[in-house]
Amino acid sequence: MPKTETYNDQVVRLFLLAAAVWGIIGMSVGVWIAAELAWPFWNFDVPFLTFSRLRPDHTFGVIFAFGGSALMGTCYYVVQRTGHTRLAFPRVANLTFWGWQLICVLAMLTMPLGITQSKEYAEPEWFIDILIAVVWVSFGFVFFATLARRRIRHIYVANWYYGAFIIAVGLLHIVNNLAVPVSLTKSYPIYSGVVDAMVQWWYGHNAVAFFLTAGFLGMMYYFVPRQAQQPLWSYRFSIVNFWALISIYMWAGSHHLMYTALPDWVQSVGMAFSLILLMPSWGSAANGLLTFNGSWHKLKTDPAAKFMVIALVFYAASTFEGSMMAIKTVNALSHYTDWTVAHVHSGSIGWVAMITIGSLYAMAPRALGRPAMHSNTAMEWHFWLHTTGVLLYVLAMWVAGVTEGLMWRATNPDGSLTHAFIDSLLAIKPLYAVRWLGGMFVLAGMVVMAWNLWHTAAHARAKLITPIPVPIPEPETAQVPAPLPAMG
Amino acid sequence: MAGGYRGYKYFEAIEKRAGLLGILTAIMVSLGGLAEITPIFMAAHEVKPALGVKPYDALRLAGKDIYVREGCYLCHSQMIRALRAETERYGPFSTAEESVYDRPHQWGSKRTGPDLARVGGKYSDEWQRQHLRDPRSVVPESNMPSYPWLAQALVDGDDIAARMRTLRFLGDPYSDADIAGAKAAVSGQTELDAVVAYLQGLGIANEPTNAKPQQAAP
Amino acid sequence: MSPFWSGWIMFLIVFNLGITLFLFLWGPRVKIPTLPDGTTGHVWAHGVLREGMNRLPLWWIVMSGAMFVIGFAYLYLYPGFGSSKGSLGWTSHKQLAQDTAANRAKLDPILAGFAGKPVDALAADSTATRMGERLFIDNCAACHGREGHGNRVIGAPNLIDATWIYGGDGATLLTSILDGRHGTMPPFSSSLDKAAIENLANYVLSLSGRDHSPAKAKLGAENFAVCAACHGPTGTGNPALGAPNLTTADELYGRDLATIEQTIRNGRSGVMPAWRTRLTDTDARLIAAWVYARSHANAAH
Repeated sequence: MPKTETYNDQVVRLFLLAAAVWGIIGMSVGVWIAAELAWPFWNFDVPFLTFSRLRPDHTFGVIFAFGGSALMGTCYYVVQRTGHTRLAFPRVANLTFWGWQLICVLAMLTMPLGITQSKEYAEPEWFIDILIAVVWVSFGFVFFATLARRRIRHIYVANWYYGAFIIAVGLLHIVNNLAVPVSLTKSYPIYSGVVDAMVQWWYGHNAVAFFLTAGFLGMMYYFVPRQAQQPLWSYRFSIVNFWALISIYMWAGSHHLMYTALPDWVQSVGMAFSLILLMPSWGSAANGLLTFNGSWHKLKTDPAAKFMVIALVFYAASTFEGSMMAIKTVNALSHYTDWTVAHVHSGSIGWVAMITIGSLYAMAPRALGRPAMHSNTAMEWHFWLHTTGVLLYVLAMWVAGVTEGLMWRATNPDGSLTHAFIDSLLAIKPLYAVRWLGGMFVLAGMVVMAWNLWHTAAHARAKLITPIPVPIPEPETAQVPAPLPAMG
Repeated sequence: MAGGYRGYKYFEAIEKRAGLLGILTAIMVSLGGLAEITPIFMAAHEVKPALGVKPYDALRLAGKDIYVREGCYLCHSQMIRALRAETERYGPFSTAEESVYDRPHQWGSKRTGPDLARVGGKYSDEWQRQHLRDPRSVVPESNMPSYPWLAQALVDGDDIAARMRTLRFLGDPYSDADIAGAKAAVSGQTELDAVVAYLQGLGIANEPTNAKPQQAAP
Repeated sequence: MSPFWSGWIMFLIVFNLGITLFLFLWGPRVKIPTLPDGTTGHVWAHGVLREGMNRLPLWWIVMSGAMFVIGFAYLYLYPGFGSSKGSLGWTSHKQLAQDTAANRAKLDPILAGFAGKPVDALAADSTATRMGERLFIDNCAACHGREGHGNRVIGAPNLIDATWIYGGDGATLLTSILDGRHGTMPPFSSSLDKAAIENLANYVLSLSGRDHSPAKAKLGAENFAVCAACHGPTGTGNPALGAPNLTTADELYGRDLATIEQTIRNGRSGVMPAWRTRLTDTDARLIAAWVYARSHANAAH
């Protein structure tokens, strides 16, 4: 029986392709709106090209279209390999692919037309939200059904995270989007004012926690040990980090509302939990990075591993930054400024995009039936373009954010405010141009990746790919882990 | 030997059962929301809006929804935090009562432009119009986009009445007369008129009468 | 907060942090079956994935311990643990009141020195004009421009030249700021035809000596009688009504032919909002002082 069963990589390949396409679209929109902030004439007085209409397309495009496709694709890939089983319900799996793409296309087309709930990171209107819920439940169904038919009893840690990602995002999505429609294109949330703010940031922060963290940690837990060819650093670390991370994160959303009309007690709870959150955050980063012990030499030759290591460094850096920004006094300075933007992007183009790109480079040759990516040089180029871009972007926005925060509160010795608001905008305008340039670097890297993927897929396009049978031949013998380094 | 792994055995049991793992995960991810959202949600039903806070009239409602549609919250907050530099620059800090009729809330998360919680009446109607049509014609340093299309579209009266009915269903106290008069109230008004009416009411129409303006500056 | 909800919050905090603390204390010492090669013996992906059993790094244990201590201490000191007010009795509003009071202690004596002082006297005080400038940029620059040059697009007057609509003395400036102004000119499109408006506009241009057609201006002069009610028989304006002086080169909406025709045809309604509810009397004086100083410095040139 096992001889006739093969891994279902067809849906994985589709998601891989979609991730590359959406990545370029989402980042292009980002670069465009970054240009608008530096040079506002770039909206050409066209409604759907205007920053405020297009910004949700950037966030949805990179988080849900690019990130979502990458997560669902790798999730299907990983759950099969770690369970030694074929994907359950392939038709439903295909439905999740086409359903998700339909959702992305609908959302990306309707939001710039002004059909939006305007809830940050949950902008699509109610009819798209219902589609999302349906596809998401189907995704969870395929995942857990595949898990149920696994041939290895012990569930690998990557799947804990993918499972938590699916469950929590489903919960967040449904609770946050409860609304009463007025018409096809307009609805009102059932929450208003302070309750809506609390629900929104409980959702918003945990979209970061579960979409951009738990899901990508699942990716990390599979692809990092595989690429490092080492056993995962520590199983006991995995247990502690997982349960702490998924529960503590859910409390942290209120740190987005410090000193607002939200009651003080919720703000304090959010801050205390945000600090304790550093424990599983750095624990997870350490568990990934230390897995490279004994394989650090791979960084010289393997761009995928390089992406992963830098991703984990950014993960550690931005989670530390996040916990610090949750401290009330720091938040009083950083909130409403570009510091938040810097933080988000060090998390998203530092951690999320780099772990995704590293994983794609690790996964693509296998999913496409090739021994390696088409061009190693192109991967190197991508690495340096991306790293340069992230650094430019993040540094520019850090400086801008701190400048704004300090100027808004600057007080003369006599007690009067020093600066008018407009002065802070004038001070940071050049940095908006630098940010745009950083975005261009990242986007250029993505184009290089698309070119590389296209050529790697040439073989696959030319003829039907031989499905990979279960349980052989993954991995190749060269991929068997090296012996564990001496215990310390 | 087995006895020594007693504590671990529970975790091993969870990690070998997909259903149990899923259920425990669902429980663990629910705790934070249960603790933070439910008390506030329940309290919101008990607290009545402060005196003077009224639901948006038809034209302002139309304006608020256009503000929401255009995504103004992405660059403008409507939340003066309880911090000295903010109350001195923008006026008294915002209270929960002031946004009871905001669906969704417009507190925002970024100030590329200034806070708007108390912008009502700060500038003339004509300035607001001109600024929305072409911001740099009045503030040359600004990087706000132009919104010239607002002046060209009329507000749809039937749609506003439908919106008010939905809001009443959600608990906002609109009377039959409010809804019946909605169409007439917005008749002939452009989207620009509506947004300006909304902006000019911010911090005024919905301001609790007991919140006296503090010393605004310096 | 009701005792029920307070208990609810306390229970959930204790439950969640309790589990986390348990994991933190238990994780480093729990015994887990381990193979001689140091892995758990769990194998996935045909041998690719295995799990090590390394001890948790000391730096991580110290850091996490510190975070627990800070987190617990914070919930002890500050409001957050259910209805607990925290041992410090801190609230964000109290903090604001203290910060404001501390700042007021510096600011109030200085402002007290400015209170009620004539604007022209304040204009000579550099502290007053510096405060006034910041207030001007945050509140007034949107219409009048950062430098006070005004803006023809919305008819915001230039404040740093020698020409005034209502008057540039200190008391009048202060009144303009605190009570606002509403300058209205009625439309004449129903009483004057296109040619008459063109003629009249040419006459208005002739008053300030700008390019115009003398023939048309001559024809337009007879219709000026209706304008004279506000702008005066010679067009020198009337500060009491806010009717601008038409004989100077100063511009409100613009002094080209098309703009003047438009003004006559459609009328004008220029609004300066009243700032009494937003600014204190002293704030308004400081702004007026800066404007006064700027306009007089310019006039001296």
